[in-house]
Amino acid sequence: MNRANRLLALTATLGLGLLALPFAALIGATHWHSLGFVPGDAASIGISLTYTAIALVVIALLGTPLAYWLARSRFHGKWLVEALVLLPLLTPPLAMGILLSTLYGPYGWAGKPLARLGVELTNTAYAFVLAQVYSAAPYFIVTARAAFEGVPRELEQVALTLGKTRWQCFVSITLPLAGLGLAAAAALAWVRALGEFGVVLIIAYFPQGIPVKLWVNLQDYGLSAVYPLLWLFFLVAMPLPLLLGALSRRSGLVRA
Amino acid sequence: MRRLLALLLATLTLGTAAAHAQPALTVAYAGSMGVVMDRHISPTFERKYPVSVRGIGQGAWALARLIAGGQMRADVFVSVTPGPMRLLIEKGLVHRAVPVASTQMVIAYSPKSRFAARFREAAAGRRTWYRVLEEPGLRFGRTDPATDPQGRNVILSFQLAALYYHRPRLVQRVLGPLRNPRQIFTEPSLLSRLESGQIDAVAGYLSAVRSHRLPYVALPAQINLGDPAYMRDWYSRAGFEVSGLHGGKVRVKPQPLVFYAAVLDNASHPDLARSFVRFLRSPVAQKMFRDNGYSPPHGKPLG
Repeated sequence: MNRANRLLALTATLGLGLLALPFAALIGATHWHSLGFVPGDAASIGISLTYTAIALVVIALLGTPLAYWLARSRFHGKWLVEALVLLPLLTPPLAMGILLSTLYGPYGWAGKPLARLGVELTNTAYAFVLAQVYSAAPYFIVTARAAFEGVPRELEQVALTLGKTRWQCFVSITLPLAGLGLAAAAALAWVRALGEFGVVLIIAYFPQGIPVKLWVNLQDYGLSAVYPLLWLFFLVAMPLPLLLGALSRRSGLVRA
Repeated sequence: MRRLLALLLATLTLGTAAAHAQPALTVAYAGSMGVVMDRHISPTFERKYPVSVRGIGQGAWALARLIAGGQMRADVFVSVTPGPMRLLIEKGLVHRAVPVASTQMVIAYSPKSRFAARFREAAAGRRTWYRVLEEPGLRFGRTDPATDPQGRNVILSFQLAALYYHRPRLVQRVLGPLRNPRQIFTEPSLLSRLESGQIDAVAGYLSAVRSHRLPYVALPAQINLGDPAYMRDWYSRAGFEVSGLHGGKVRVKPQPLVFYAAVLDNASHPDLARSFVRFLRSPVAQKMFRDNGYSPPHGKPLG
C-alpha cells in the first residue's frame, strides 16, 4: 500500500468512526435486559409507517411528472420553477410547519373552506400526510430529476421515430431506465418523511408518529424511554433504503 | 400500483374514521406538566367520558402565541403563571381561567453528581445550598428565560435569594449572564441530562422534579415564588428586562407559580372542555396533582 492509499484508508476510517460513534453510544446506553416500551410506542410506529407510505405515494404521483418536466423541458423562467421546488427544502422545518398552519390551519384561507368540507388539517391524519409531503417532496423531485436526466435522450427519440406515443415512450423506455434513480429518490423521501419533526410538531402533533413520540417520551419518562423506541425506528426506517441500495448495486454489477 | 394506492387511501380513510369515532379533545398545557397530564389526568378523564384527550405539552408562552395567532386550535389551555393566559384573555379568546394547582421553585440535583453528598446535607439543613452551587466545576442547568416562564423564574428566585441572604453577587456567581449559553437547555432534555448525570443541579418546579422522582433542596418561601402571601411586598422586589418585539424592552416581574386552566371560546367541543376543566378541580384530579408534587391551587380566577 502506498502512502496516498494509506492516508485515504486512514481518513475514511476516521470518517466512518465519527459517523458510527453515536450509535455505539446508543448501544451502550440501552438497557438491554429491560427494553421498556411505554404506552403509545407501538401505535406511533403504525402511524408513522402507514402515513409515510401514503405520503410517499402522493409524492411519487405529483413529483414524478414535475421531475420529468424539469429534466426534459427548456423554457424561459425555468430557474424560477427550480427555485420554487427548492423553497420548501431550504425553509427551516419549524418555519415550514408554521407556514403550513398559517395556510391550512383552522383560520387559514385554505384551511377554513377545507374544514367546512370535513377535512381538518391540524392534528389529523390528513395534516400528518400533508406535513410529510411538504418535507420530503423536494428531495424526491431533485433526485428523480437527476435520474431522468441520466436517461439518454437519443433512446427516447428513436422510440418516438418508431411511432410510439410520448406516453408509451415514457412508460416503456424512460421509466425503466430511470427506475433505480427513482427508487433512490423514493428511499430518500421515505427517510426524510419518516424522520420529520419540525413541520409535524406544529401542524400534526397528533396522530403521534415516532419523532414526536420520542420528544414526548423524553418529556414524560426521561432518556430511558427514548432509546427503545429509537431502536424500533431504525428497524422500520432502514429496510427500504438498504433494499434499494442493494438492488442498485446488484444491477450495477450486471451492467458492468 | 392502482390497487396499492386504493388500499392506502382506504387505510387513510379508515384511520381517520376510527380517529373520528370519538371526539378528540385537544388540551394544550405548559410543558412541565407532561407527566401528570399524559400519564394520570388525561387517561382517567378518558375512562370517565367518551373522548380521546390529545395533550400538547410545550412552553406555555409558545402555545399561547400559537393559539393567539390562529396557528393552533385547542379546546383547553393550561398555563403556568398568569402571563400566557392573560395574553389569550386580551385577545378575546378566553373569558375566565381558574387556578387548578400551584408549585414552587426548588434546586434539584443529580444523585450521580460528585456534589450529591453536599446537596444531601443542604437538603437536611446542615449546609448552605447556594454555597454548594458556587463550588468551582459545578454544572448548573436551567431553561431559556426568553421563551420559558420557568427560565425567568429561576432568575427571579436567585435575585430574591441575593436580597434574602444579603449576597449581592449571588446571581452573577451562580447564573452568570441572564442567558448564559453554558446553562440553558430545553426543558425535557434538562431533567434528562440531570438524571443521566451530565448536569449536577438545576433550578426548576417542585412538581416536575417530584414527577421525575429526583432529589431536591427546598427553598425558603421568600425565595421559591410559591407563596402568594409574599407577592406584593417581597417577591415584587425582583425583576429584570428581556428584549421584546420591535427592539423594545419587556420588564419581567414575579408572578405566582399557579397553573390556570381555561376553555377556549372557539373550542370545538365546548361541553367536554368545560367538563375537563371541572375535572381538573375535582378531588380525583387534585389527588393526582398532589401525588406528583403539586400544591393546591392558590389565588383567584382570571378574566
